[in-house]
Amino acid sequence: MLKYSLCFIFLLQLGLLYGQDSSLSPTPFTSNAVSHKNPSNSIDFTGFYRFLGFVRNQTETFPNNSGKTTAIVVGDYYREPMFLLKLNGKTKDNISFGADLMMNSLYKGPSDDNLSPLTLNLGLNLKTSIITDLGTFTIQSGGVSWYRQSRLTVWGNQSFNRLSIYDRRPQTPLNKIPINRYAKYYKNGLIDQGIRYGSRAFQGLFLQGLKLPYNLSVKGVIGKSNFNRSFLETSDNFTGCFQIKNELSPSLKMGYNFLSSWADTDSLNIQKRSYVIHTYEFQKKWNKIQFELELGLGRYQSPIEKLGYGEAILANIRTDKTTKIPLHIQLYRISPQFVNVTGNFLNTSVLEVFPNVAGVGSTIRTPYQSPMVGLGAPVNNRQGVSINADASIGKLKLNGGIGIYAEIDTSYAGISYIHNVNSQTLSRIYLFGQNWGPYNSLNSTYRGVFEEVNILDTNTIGQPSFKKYFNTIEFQAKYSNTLFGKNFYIFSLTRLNSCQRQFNILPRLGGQALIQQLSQEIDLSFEVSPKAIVVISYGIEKIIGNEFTDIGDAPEASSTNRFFENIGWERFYHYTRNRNQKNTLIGVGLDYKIAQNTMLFLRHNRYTYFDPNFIENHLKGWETMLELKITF
Amino acid sequence: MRKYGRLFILIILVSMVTIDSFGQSNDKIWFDGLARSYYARDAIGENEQVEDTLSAKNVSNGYNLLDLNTHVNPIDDIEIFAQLRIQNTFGGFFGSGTSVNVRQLRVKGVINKSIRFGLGDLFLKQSRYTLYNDDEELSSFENDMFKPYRDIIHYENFYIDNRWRLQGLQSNFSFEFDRGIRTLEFDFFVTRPRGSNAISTTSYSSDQLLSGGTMMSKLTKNLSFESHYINLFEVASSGTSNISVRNPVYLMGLAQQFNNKKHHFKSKIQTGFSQRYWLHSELENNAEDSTSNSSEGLFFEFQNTYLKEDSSIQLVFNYRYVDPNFRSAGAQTRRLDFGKGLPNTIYPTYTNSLIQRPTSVFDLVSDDRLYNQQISSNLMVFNPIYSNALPYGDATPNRSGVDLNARIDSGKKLLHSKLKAGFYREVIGQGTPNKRNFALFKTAIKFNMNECFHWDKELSLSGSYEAESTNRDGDSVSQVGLFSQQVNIAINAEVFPKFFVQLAYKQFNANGNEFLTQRDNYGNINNFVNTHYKQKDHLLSAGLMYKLRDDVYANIQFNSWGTSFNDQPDLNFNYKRLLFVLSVTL
Repeated sequence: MLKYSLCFIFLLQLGLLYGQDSSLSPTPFTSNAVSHKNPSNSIDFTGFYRFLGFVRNQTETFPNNSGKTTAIVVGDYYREPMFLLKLNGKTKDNISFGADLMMNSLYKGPSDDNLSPLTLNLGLNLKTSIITDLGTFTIQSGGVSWYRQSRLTVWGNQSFNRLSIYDRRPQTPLNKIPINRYAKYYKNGLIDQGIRYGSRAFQGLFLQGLKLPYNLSVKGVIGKSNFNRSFLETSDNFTGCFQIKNELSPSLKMGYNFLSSWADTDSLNIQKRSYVIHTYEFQKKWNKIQFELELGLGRYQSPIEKLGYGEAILANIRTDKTTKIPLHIQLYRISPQFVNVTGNFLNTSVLEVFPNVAGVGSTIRTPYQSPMVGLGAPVNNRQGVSINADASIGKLKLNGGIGIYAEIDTSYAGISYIHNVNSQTLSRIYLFGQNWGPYNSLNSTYRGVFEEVNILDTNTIGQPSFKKYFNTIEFQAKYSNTLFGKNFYIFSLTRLNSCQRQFNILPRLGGQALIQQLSQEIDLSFEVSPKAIVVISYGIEKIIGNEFTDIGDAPEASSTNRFFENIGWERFYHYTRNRNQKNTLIGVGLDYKIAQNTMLFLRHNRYTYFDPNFIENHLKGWETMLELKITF
Repeated sequence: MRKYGRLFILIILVSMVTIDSFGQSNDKIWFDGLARSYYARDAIGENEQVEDTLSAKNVSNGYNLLDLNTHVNPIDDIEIFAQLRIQNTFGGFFGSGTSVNVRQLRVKGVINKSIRFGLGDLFLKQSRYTLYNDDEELSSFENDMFKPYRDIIHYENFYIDNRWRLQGLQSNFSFEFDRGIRTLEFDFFVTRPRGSNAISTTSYSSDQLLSGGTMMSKLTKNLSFESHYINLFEVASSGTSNISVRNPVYLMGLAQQFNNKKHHFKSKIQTGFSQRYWLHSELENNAEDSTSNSSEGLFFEFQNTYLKEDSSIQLVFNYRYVDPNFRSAGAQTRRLDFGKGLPNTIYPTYTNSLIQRPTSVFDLVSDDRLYNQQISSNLMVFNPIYSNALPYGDATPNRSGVDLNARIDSGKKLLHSKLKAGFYREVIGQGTPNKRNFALFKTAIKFNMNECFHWDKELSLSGSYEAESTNRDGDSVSQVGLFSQQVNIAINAEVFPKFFVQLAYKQFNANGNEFLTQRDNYGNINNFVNTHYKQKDHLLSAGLMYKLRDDVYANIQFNSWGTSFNDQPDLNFNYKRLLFVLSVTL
């Protein structure tokens, strides 16, 4: 049989070798599908690798601590990628598509339990632009996108950039040389914190129209934010908004904004929780003065409560930066009925819009019980004014502001305050936890912690019978010079907040304030070499409550100021059994450039969180972080 | 040794024969794929008959996905292909509802510029009687309005060009000659449609394999010969059952072409033979292997095709005979298996009794999860109202008859039309000596009105009609009379360049009775259930489409759909849907 086969094959071979050139069957039979090369126009990858090694040793812990006092961790606590691979492509039809793959590894050994799944950092996006005679239209669809519209409708939490830049954020890009981060902050007061800063995360269908007739422009989105969500994923829960803007002249703009958010609240999708906002924007620029005004009307209703309509006014007056003392005056009044969780203000009147359902919406709850906030951070059920000014004296740059605010209506029997010192450290102890700590008063947010204080002076239904008044002072000094031919930068930030029952021009100290919060942070950055920066940070924070706030469990009252107590200046201290917190942070670090797009950051912090009147509120320890970031 | 030496020479000789090389690019890595944004919101429509206070008034879901096809060409003639699916659900933030999966993985290439091969995920097709993934019901004469739905169904279920997605090894090569026969082409594959799985802690199912081969030859310029072989079988030793199926099918055919300058004629005659039996092996007491439930059948088809030179007219006339016991798993497996009782994705239950909602035409149009990708060794259950004449495609057993397929296009693109008409009869009666008669008629016309008015933008009116009739004479107990029909009407108006307004209406009616066959695990009929039908499905759609290309479009459409039953135990239902699809082939 094989012999015949051989002969047959050989004959075929001969036929081929001596045959004439002919093409009869260009595509011989195949049972398999034939593929053709048809690549997309372009696909490229960007991203970073970011190793974060973290060691925390607690010498004093909360009493409910499990006994584990040392944590050795690899990776960022806050769901940040160790390896981010951003895929960006464009098709022949000019449609952009992108996905950001996120890969983490715990480096905890080879066990399968420690394997981390490949996932997405934000999501997938498709985007295209269509140029027509009417204008340029952009359509975007997909996963999380960062969107901004107006301060009362969609705008990320953004205030004045008065903060300590000792702590780094994962989104912070690498500078060409390490000192530039501090130099830019000294010069501009701005820190590039990535695309998400000042915007809100949305999913859905985004539309934008630019260069429309009559200088009109429109943009909008119909989709979902991570707030105001139903407890069932399949229920209706949407947030839609749009903006129509008209640039009448280069110095005059007007716009209309609309936002509607609704979520079904029951399994049959009959009951809804919703809020609707209409705002009108006006922007006018004179020679050296810029005036911005946003007027809004909002309505909130849910099966639990129907608040009806409420107004909001937000006005900003800025003088040009070229003036001798640039000023920024902000006035606002946001009624309790004006509810929104995606605007640039905190919602304090309705708690239920925070979904708090893991896997569906955000489980992060911002401060909502009469929060004491910094300047430039409006809150609803509040009105007030703040004035900010900048000045320079040689190489000393000063800026500061003062703000006075009052509640429009009485509210919760509580006050919340955001820790200025040790905020990240505390939030890492219990990530995104609510009402935690020995007194259930701590709440963690993204890289921050706020604390709630109960007010004891209430009426029969447990509500305070008075409105709360808030005062804030912020003062920042920035200085730069050279030492031994090396650049150094010093940043000092002082913040004073108080909340009391009466209107006052200045913050109240002593027993008149329900809560007073004073913090001082000093950062020093010294350029050892063009590749290396040594940073030192010191922070201290004092929070004191008066007799109408929570009483501690310590048997004896404590002094509000040990220093003045020791030297006997009774005017500057008193004894209290209420809140008497003191937080300190001392940190030292190194920023080192290994190579282009490759930098190393080292931070070592020693922290204390202590209140002698609340004896279980005592934390002490140190943490060390080593970060290696490589971008590509 | 001498034997191996001869084998070696044989291999060398075969490999020396030149075969068309497989085209490859110099680029080592390149990408393509598909991205899709999908959002659907369903709501309960008005329904006076049914009280449903337990179902949610509306339900929504959506996702975004990117199928990134990575092609790696480490050398010119080899391609490694991986399809990575990245998906996140609409509403899931910061990693919630995100998944990244490998959807396909294969390598293909050419060995020694002679032998093509594919290994991994393959899409295979042979002939309509051996390996063929026949179209699903009510789909072939549909209009553009429902294209986004069909695209998703086909893509998600890997329905590409009537091929089955299989995993295994495939190879083909061919010879060309200048005297005697002109070509000789060979193709082989071995795949595993189903791997062994644990059924319980002590029992495992067997591996199911599908292998086949083809030899084709162009004997002369106009005469060609083909033969196919395919076999679906189980490897009993890979599981814990000692019973395994065998289903070999053999086919051979001869085709003759007659061409002149204006007309092309082709006649093809093919016949085949199938066996199916279950092998009982590894029996106790060292008993010899035995078989059971053995069946054999043949088929015969004579096909004539006419094609006008300018492709404006195509006519295909068929006569076919398929034995009642002709079984070919690769060709008879259906896309829709009504025997699984899969729940519908949209409102799977309704009424306050939470009864399972019957599948409607809209579910068939829109629900990709109802469809099947698994080769079945038994005939699958079908619903006679949707397809009773040829539920298993051209390989439907127990049929003899004729059919005509026609496609006629007018000049200047004014009119496109197609038609299918068939008359079939059972070879033997089922449960009675009387045989069923089937009539099938399908037609579709697309009228491009813009051509009349010389408009650049499209304005078209399209309609289609599909009807099937089944009759069986006999006494009042065994009589069968079933008639079903579907009407589609659609308007497509291009109001701006590439931007269309669309309107469509689809109605499906079924009336009569039919006996549903119940089969045991070996495909033997053990009962007939007389079932009466009187139902009407409707689907009204209106939408907007922005279409850059056929496979790049954004579509938003509203659907109002439902089913009403007269004198039936099922209760009526009505629903509404808002759909958004952005589909981009990269």
